[in-house]
Amino acid sequence: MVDFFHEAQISLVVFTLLSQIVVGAIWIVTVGEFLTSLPAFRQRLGRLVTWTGVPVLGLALAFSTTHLGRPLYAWRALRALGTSWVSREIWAFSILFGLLCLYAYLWYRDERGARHRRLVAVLTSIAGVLGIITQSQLYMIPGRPQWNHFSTILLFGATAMMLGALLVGVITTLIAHREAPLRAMYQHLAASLLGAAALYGIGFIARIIYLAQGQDAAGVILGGAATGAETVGTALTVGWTIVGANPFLSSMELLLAVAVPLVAGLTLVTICWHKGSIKLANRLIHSTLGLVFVGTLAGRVIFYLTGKPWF
Amino acid sequence: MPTQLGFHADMEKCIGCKACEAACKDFYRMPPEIRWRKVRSFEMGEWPKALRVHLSLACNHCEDPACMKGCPVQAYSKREDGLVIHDPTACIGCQYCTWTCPYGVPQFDPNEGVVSKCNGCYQLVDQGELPRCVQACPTTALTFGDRAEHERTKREAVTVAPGFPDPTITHPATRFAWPKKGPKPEVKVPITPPAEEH
Repeated sequence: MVDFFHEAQISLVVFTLLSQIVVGAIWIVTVGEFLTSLPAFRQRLGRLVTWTGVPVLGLALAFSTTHLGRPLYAWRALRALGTSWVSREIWAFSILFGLLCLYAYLWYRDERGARHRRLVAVLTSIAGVLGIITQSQLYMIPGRPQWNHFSTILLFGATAMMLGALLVGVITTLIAHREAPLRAMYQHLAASLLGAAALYGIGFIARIIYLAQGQDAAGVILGGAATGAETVGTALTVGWTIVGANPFLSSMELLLAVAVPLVAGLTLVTICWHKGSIKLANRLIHSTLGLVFVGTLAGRVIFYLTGKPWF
Repeated sequence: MPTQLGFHADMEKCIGCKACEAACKDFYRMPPEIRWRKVRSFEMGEWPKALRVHLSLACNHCEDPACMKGCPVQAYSKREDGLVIHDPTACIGCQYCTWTCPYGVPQFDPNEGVVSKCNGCYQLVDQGELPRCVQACPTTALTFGDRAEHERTKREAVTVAPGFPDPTITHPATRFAWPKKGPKPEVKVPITPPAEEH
């Protein structure tokens, strides 16, 4: 069990997932800054989302240090901004954390400072985008061909969008009671959810197809000397074997991180169009967040497991 | 042309005795699970012309080391003679180099909380001696010196070896000589996956 937790890089699973939820939620709130015409609602939502985001991102950053052999020296990882994607990732998320704290504070200033708050919201969102890019680039390396694929950035970005939208959705269900604006908001939420789930689905399928090339590579290894660039096939074989050995995790990912949000998004659209029960929609959003979180968790675990050493 | 020190592994001469591995572990007092040098064994060709070959590998002291580029704490440095050195006192144990190195060279020691790897015995090299693994090789299959010299003087000095990851990624300094009677590097031959023996 200890080996499984080490190979699945649980510290990094928690760090990447929690940080991506926060980034996604900030994206949604930033869009809301410009689209929502209800100042009181916008303020309550903004305060709650940012004050949820600050401890969650703080926890994610703190948890990431448990991956280190010498966590007390984690600050040294800021040194190599010019060359290392790890340094860039830590810089991006540290800046994001600082901006998020400032953004959370600005929600308590009066509306006259809204222009500054919106500027900080945009900057925080940009820091989030940079965070997701650096986080993905870190894994897209020739040393681990199993991760060195565009599906990595697609899955990370889609996870942020999907979980972020659902988190904002859950917070919305807790603070809003008037039906009309809620239906409009849930339609936006459903659109975000459907878009993100479609992207996640494309990433999932692309990754499976990519790793499945390992099946052909296995023939190369057994039938001819794998040398040079052909050895990528050896790495894909390792990744594909791990996917095959963990069908439960891959099935959970497909079901809960792709199928569930697609069905939930369509159901939400149907409820809004046919003026269905808001209570039902609220329950749907709550349960979808839980299920999608479990699905993306399973996906992230299998992602790290496939990146096994291969030479 | 600047000097680039590196190893040369002759698969014709290597008998898989692992004296190189043992000498390295003994000299650096390594824990059992850490092996800076590893001897991998392959079966090549088809019966009745099957061959069992051994490949002794450690750090390749690459021209463009991925471990050094990816390290967030700048624990790696490349000396003027081309050797890539890791400083364990600067390392924070993030293990990113164990991912970026395609050859699986850096290894994480959970007891020490840091990564370690072959440093080419640079202290010995500075005194005009050879690395311990090379000194211990009873068949002279493993040699050490300037890469250009290897390419000039050895029977064969190619960049590819069975299963060895794409040398264009980091331009390793290690050169190989394939078995004389066996398949040639450029020819596709049946081969079994590398087997590590303990």
